[in-house]
Amino acid sequence: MNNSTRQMMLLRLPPEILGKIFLLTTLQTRTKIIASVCKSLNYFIFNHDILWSKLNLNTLANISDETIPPMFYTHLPEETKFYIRELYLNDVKITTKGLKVVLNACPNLKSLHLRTCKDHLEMSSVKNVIEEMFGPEEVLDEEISDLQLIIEATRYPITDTDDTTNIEIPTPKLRPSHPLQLQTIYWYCDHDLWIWWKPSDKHDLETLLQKLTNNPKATIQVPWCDFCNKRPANSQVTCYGNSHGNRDNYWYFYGCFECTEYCDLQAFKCDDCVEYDKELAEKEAAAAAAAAATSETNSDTDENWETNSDGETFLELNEQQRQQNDIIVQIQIIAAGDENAPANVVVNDTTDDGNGNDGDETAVINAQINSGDDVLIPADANDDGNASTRTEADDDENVLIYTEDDGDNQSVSTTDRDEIHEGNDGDILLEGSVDDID
Amino acid sequence: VKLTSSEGTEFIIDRKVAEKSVLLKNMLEDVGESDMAIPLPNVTGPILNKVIDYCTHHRDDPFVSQEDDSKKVSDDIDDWDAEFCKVDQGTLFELILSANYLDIKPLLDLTCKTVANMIKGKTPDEIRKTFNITNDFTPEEEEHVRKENEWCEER
Repeated sequence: MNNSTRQMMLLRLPPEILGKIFLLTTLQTRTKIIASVCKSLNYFIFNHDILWSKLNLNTLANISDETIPPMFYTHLPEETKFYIRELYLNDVKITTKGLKVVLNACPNLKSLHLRTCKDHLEMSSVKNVIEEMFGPEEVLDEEISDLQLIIEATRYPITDTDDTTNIEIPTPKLRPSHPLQLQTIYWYCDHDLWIWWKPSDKHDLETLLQKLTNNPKATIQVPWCDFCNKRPANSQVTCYGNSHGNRDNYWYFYGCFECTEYCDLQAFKCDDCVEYDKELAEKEAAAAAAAAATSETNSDTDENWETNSDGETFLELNEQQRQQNDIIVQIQIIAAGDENAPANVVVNDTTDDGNGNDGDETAVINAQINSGDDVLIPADANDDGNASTRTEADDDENVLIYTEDDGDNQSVSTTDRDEIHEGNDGDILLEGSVDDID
Repeated sequence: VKLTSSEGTEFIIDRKVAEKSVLLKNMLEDVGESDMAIPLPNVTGPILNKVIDYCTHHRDDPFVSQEDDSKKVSDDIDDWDAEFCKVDQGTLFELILSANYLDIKPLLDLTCKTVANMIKGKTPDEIRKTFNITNDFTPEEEEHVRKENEWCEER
């Protein structure tokens, strides 16, 4: 076989086979090496559908917001951009600035692989960009002019400088002439930086795509495992934790088979929710402790009322309260007579003072009080300081106040409730005596 | 199964071997049992012989479904296949065309990978020499192409 035949065989291979061969080489080899071999191959490289339909820019160095405009507006031939249907930008640092260029330059782009990046490429901002570019708003002539200037400025810049990749190109405020074809955005998580999206943002972006493309199947795919970030996700995992607010808006995670126990991860709670629950439990414990402390120092709160085995309710005073000179208790008068009528309350300290003198430290509160009034039990009603004061309400809703001496483990039993309520002039007399106990 | 090459040379092979070719498989299914030779006017005898060698060696390989070409790599060729492809370029290109015509995907993949490996790591000039291609760029055009594609620098 002569040389001419050999050359003919290579260059005259069917285009689909030549494309298949070149697709086995890298993008750099195709554009920088093969395209430089001869004009025929140069044309083939930039005009063969299969070589550009799935363009992966992740492998290239220095892809950024600054290098994307000259690449798409200058270096790539116009017809080449028409072949781009799926574009991988999920491992490079671009923002909405670069995204605008891509959306404008690739009229047939159907799938786009994006990634949250440290420059905060968020779903909400992507939605705003798409809405701005392809939404129904009116276009200002000024914006079209801006776009034309940018495209013209970047189309033939290779005359004065070798370093065209560093040309500063303003972000175009543009509305492309072509309709939006984008039907799928694959969104990857940047797990190094933990920038997440809200489910509502995902929904909004998806809805916008469906609306602008008139395709109800337009979707946002989140295909990378959120747990290991190494394998494609195979299932969606719902977090049943409490840290995500509205329970109608469950938080979803995406996991590979391995990380989701082969899609059988039950009752999953994310780290945030585990932490949230832990903090919540700690807060509740702290609140309970604080409430207990408050109730201990506040003798007239209900928490100190306890019911004994006889069904009697009494107010237990703690050590701190016992050490106080004066004690205030709130009296709820529930008398047989008119409960709104004022009553006289007499508190007799009938307990042992520790010196064998019972009832020698009687204190009498002989004042008109009303139901709900605070009653001050003065210090001298508290025996020798070891006594505490209790009130009781029995089954008949009579109210009793008496003191007891812890030191002697002595308490005053109830007085005759009938007598209490039959006190003179309708007064309520609360009294107790050692004699009664005896 | 009888096959006839473009020169009229007849080859008799097992049906299982023949069915590695989707083209032949479909034809055999359509025709049924027959003693008639299947003419293959686009395949020469020596190339058909090589193709039969390949199909015989891989007769028990599982059927390979259509795969995404963009995910293929060219460095996964086993030793037998590598040795099989150590042929002159003319034969290699003929094998490519025959594999395409007979619809033998694994053979087409193998031969395409072999050509791709002949391109990888070479400069444009080395590729021209390898495939005997004339450089029809002027020096200015070549420089322009080089600058145009500077953006495509891989990591």
